[in-house]
Amino acid sequence: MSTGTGKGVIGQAVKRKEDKRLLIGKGIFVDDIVLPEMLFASFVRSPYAHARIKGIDASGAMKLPGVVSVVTGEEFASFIKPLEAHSLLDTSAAESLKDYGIAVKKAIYHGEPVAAVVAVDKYVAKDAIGLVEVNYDPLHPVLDPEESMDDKAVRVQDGTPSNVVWHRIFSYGDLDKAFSGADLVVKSRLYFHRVMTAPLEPYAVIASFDKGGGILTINSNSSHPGRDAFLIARSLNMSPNKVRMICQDNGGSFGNKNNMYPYIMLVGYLAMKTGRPVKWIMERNEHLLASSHGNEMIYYGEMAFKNDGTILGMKARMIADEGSELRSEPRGATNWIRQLTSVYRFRNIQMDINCVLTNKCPTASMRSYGKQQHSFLIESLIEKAARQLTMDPAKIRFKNFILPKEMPYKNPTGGVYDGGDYPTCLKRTLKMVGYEAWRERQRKLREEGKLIGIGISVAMEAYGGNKSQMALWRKGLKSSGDTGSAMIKIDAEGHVSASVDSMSMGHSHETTTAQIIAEILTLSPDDIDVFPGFDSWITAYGERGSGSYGSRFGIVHHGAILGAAQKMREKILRHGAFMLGIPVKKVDLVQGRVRVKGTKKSVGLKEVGFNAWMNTGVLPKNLEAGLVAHHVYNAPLKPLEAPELGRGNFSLTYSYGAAVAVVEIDRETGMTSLLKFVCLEDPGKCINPMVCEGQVHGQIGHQMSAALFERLIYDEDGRLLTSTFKDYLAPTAADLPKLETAIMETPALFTPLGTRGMAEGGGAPLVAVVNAVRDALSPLGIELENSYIEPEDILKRIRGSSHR
Amino acid sequence: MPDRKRVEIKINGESYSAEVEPRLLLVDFLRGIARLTGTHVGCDSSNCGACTVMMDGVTVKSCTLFAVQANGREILTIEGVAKDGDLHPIQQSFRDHHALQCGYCTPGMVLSALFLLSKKPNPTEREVRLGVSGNLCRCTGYQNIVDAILAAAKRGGQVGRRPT
Repeated sequence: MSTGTGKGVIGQAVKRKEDKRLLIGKGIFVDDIVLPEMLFASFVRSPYAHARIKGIDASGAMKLPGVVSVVTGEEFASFIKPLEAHSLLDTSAAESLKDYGIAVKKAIYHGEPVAAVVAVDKYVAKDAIGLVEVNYDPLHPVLDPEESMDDKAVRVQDGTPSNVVWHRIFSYGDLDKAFSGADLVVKSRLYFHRVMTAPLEPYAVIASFDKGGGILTINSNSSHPGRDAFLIARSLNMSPNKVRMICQDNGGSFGNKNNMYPYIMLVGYLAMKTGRPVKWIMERNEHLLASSHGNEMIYYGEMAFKNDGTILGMKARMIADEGSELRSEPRGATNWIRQLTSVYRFRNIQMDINCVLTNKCPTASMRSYGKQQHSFLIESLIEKAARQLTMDPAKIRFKNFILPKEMPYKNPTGGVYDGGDYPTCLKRTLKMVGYEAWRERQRKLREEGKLIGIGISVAMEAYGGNKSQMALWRKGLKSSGDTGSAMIKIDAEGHVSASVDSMSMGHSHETTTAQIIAEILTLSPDDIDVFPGFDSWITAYGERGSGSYGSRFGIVHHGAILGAAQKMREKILRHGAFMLGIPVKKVDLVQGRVRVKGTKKSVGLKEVGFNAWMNTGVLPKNLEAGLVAHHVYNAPLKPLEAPELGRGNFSLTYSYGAAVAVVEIDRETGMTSLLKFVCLEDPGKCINPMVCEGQVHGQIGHQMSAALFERLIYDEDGRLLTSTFKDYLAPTAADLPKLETAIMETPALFTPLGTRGMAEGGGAPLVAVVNAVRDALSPLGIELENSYIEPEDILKRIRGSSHR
Repeated sequence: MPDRKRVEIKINGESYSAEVEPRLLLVDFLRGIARLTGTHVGCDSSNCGACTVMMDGVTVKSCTLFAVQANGREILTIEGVAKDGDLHPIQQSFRDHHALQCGYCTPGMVLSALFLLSKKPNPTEREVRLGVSGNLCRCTGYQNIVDAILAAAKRGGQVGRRPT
């Protein structure tokens, strides 16, 4: 008997299924797992950003009792094939790269693995690290991406024709007309700093190899296990079917764990070599040094305006500092194409994209991947123009918004916006913050000499990525669309369970999956068990992309869950009708019972499940035995119209949001304090508003902290200075202000539940903070062109200002 | 290598005894020897607080203490907070306010909250923020954690009681 009716479960703030085990300390994270005979691995890492490896002497380490094996990069390279993630790019520079996930002959960033030690426990493994002697010949590190572009620059990787791995110019509309007819052209050299989301649980892997069956089992906290299985199987020369990927509880990712396959592959090899399970738990300092960083970018941007604030066009030259390897790039360097002109109506735009290698940690996905950088470009130029035109920054945005009546709006690439109301979004956000009152207060406080700033940002975040984006990078690549997969089963006793080919990293997938199924099967979410985590041998099979990234759970996985639930509903009704001896059109589903319409006569899931599985001898030919429903949702996305020109619809949904920050800058210290912060986001239909709001809090936390606290700093030798939480300033509760958030739900036009994906924020919180600081400093004539607010820099500029 | 030392630690009311290397960290005793894996490691430098436990009623970071330093002491870990399968009021408040997402920081956060409320049964918002400032959370932006602790405090002075 169901404890609920299912009615209205979608949209309710249902409490989470995941909470109890996590609250009592009984979650299962990778490091909680202990396997018999398990060994522990640790990596020797390069202290240099760029150095030739002349030799590795492991004899001292091997003498230490408990050490089982020391494996050098060269040995790995003799067994594994280089990863082929970078071969998505069809340039000769990219094709010449060889990524083994470990240094072979040459180390190319500070912290790069050089050798692995395997020992009986982690203490011995760490001791042995210090006993491996590596003879390095330091080389000149290439750290400045603009210098790296020079033909004469030292090559980051051996054998590459250039450090520039990809260069393309994409043009839309009529740039000459836009700029020649402009009343005002603003120009900036903008810098988006290197930052990372630093989830609290670093990478973690346990590999075990079953020699008899040839099966490599990986327990990891990857957020993209389906794809990882393909990449590592190819490198280890085995079928992906023989790589079993298991992930359960996951200590956060925010994009960061989308890129851990090199380590999975290396630990996999260690298990194959030693014949015993091998555990590797990354430490924080290794994670900051050598997991993946977010995109660091330089823009030379120009934007053309009319005097009334109308945007006529934008030109930008982007230099993306990719770090030393291409593991997910140039996705981040091209994700701007998914939301070319953001929420604004201008149609003339040119993007000159340069992807450049440097001797730094590889960059890869990070929450709002490549999109917050694009928002930073657009919103910074708009902000500068508003100041020069002495226009209110809200007013200039209202002037340029695409309007609801223009939906579905086709942007210059051919991206089809799926509804939304940008003016209302900003209006509501301004109301939440009390914009006019703050402007008034600002005027008064400025008279008292205080540096008060109000910053606005409106940003788009496109989700539901079209796999056709890959055709941008490799000509003729035939991939398009996106899918999600879900399976529901009801057993012979009527228990309902489900699995989805997603990976939850705090996203509450168990809860929201149960809500969708409960609504369709007229049950309570408590009646439905959702498989926690991912197991490639158990979870509903989905294509190689299986995993969670780019907010696809709210799009393709919701489509899959809904589709599977609808199929299951149909099966239940058909079996129930058969048992009741009447046509299926005369029954309906009420509180999990198949009922003859208009009567109280019914059969429950328990009886239906039993009959469907255990009494199959009576079933007619046209009634399939059992209750299993699998659905692969195929997102309505077409191949790109003209990949070489960057034209087509790159995304299924176009989410957006606005943020307003109020800051005060201390003239004596240069410190910025947040006085107020509000943020509004439109994710379309919310399955669970409590979860949605929580997700928005999280993205604000990351982006606000990226502006004010978090920065990865390399010194002039390419050594990372911020390699612990003592110097990489992840904020505490005492550092962040009260977060005031709201959700508006304008249904997305092209997804089955009207959901749009959410909570990557498109950079709105980050840019709002930066714009607030710009506003605060504007009376002093100071222009800020960096995404990072550095108190020392601010103080120096306040002191140097002639308006002081 | 110095001689192994015998240590006996009472954890959640139960005694655990083992011969350990003097350098064995308390967190590794809890996770590896007592097999209480609810206490997590997030930074190795005592910044993140995922390894927070109580030692004789005071929160400590178990990644920066040796097991031998806890010899003869009483430790409370997250596994000892709920009683007979019922969530402690602070845990319930975390659930009610959606104060956890991935759950990795949660055990340490709950113990810090418990300690805070045992010292200050009616904290202000600022006191709550400072009280858990030894614990990092990367998912929530802290808002719901702060709300959960304030709400738990409002439910009466018993929230900070030690659940042993």
